[in-house]
Amino acid sequence: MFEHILLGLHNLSTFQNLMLVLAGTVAGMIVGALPGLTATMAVALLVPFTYTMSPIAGLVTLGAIYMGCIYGGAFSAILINTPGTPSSIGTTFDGYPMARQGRGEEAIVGATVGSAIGGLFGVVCLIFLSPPLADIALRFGPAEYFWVGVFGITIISSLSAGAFLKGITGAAFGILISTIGIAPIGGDVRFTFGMPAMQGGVELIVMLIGLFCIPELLNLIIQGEGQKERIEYKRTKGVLWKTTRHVLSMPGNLIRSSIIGTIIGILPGAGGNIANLVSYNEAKRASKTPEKFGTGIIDGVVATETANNAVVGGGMIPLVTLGIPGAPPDAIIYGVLMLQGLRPGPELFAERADITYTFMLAVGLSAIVMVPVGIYGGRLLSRFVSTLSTRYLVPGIAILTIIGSYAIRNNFLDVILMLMFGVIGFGLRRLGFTAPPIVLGLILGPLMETGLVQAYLTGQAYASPWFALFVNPISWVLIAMSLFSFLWPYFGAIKGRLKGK
Amino acid sequence: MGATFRDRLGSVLMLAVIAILWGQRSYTTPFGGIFPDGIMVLMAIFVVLTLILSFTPYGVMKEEEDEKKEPKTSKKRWLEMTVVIAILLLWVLLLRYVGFALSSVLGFSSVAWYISGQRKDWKTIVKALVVGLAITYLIILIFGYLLQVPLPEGEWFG
Repeated sequence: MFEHILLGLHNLSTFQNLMLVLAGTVAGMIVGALPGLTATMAVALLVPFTYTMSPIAGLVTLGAIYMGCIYGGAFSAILINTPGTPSSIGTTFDGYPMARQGRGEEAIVGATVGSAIGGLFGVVCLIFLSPPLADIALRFGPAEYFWVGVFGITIISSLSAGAFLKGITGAAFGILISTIGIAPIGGDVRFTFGMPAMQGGVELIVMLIGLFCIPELLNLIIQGEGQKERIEYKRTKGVLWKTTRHVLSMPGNLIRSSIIGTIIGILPGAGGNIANLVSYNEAKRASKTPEKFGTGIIDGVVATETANNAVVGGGMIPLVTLGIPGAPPDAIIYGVLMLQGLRPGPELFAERADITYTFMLAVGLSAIVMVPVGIYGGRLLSRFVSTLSTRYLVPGIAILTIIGSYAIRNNFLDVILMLMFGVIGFGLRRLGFTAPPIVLGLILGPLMETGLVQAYLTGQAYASPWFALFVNPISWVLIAMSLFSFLWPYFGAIKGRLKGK
Repeated sequence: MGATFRDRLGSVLMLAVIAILWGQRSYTTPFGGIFPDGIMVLMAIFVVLTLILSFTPYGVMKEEEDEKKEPKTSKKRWLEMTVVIAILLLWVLLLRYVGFALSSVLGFSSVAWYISGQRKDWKTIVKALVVGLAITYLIILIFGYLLQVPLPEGEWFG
């Protein structure tokens, strides 16, 4: 592993890649700081910039965009009381009161140091946990891959904001969309409605751009141009070091929030939006002065920002080991890996370790780059973002979605499909079907189908070919985990009702 | 839109999707249908369950407190959104014939002008056109020249 890390460092140290990390971090921070846009949307919007890059350059840029984007959300949360991304909702609780008290710089520095530490913690976990997990994944056969898919679907459904049935129906909808085109085994042409252009199936990135960007764009129109009061902050001598020392003097908060962020990142579909609220709550519970939370206490800002950036590395662990996106933005990275001809999963470590380690290290470097960029360029960034008007933001997003969906295959049908899926996604969201389960279904569908049919074919020696799905102990563990996550929401609901009585 | 109504409408739409795809089934090998058929059956079970629950006090979606407090989106906003979708569709359709440059200047400027709220002000129109032109050409410079990403030239001009 260490030779791969050294190789990754060597690849990353080229001038071009270092500049791409810097540019990606800054671009991510700008989009992340725009109120109302999610990190997933930001990553999806900036994907077309990587189309013509080499796999290493493209992934380095994308990783930096993702990390910068999550951090960028803190600026709007602290200075205008509107989280730039849902991952920074918890940051508004104490960040904005701090800014109102004239402690904006302190809050920004706290968020910056917390983000960097959380980001680095997640990446260290990614680098050291992924190879052994990938080794385990190499032992997986078709049946195990099928059950991994089932586990991913059940867990994301149980996390679907209290609406398990809606979550699992959305995931099934995504799986059905993934079956459009030629079947992975047998070559059947399915659900193409007689259109030859549909035989290739729905391009993943096209659907991701549509589902994650267009609904946000339409929401911006519905919300209109809100009047936001931005609080200015000035850099004062001594605040930077004093705050940094203060943040570093709370290792319990930093470690707890980093662990929470990494674990939540690993769970398929759960991202920074959940991690920042959970870690805020846990920081409050562990504090000796919980009553001060919400009044402008730096511990709250540090907890949320550490956790949401730890999600970045954590979410990539199932992505690079099993091909399952941990957090929603990882779905876009999954799509880009596929686009670059890299199959997410254990093969990334077995065959393309040079690219994989360079990518992981670039994400870590981005967490470090955020510090000087955020501290010295933060004021400029927040001023720039607050001057952007919805009337230009909406067509600006539209133009990037058009390029993103057209340039993959130079296909006009893809642009129409992107728009169509976007409008459908907007409608489905209003009806309670959120995008993450649909997208996970879309990604896991082919993995599950291949696993299921291959297991069925290899099980011909058994009394029933379906027995092949249940013969391996790894399958039993995965089945138990799936059953647990399937039944968990019901246990929770029953417990809640009993408590109520 | 109430939570119960959303449960019911969502279920009906999903049942329609299942029915449409079920009607499209025509497999030539024994393996093509194993997975999608199974998923369609499972999905139908979940949807019917959602529909049944919507007639009981245990509906799937819960009315959030914030949602109750939130002011309803005005008809004006919905109309604006529908018009922007129509402009986007036209933009996408024009892309094929007039290419990226012209369709994007027109599309960008139209959306910017329409959602500005000051549609009769000629200054807004000029500003939207100038910004549309500048952004489109900046994007052509970045994507077309710097990153070498292929942008459509348009069948009428290409």
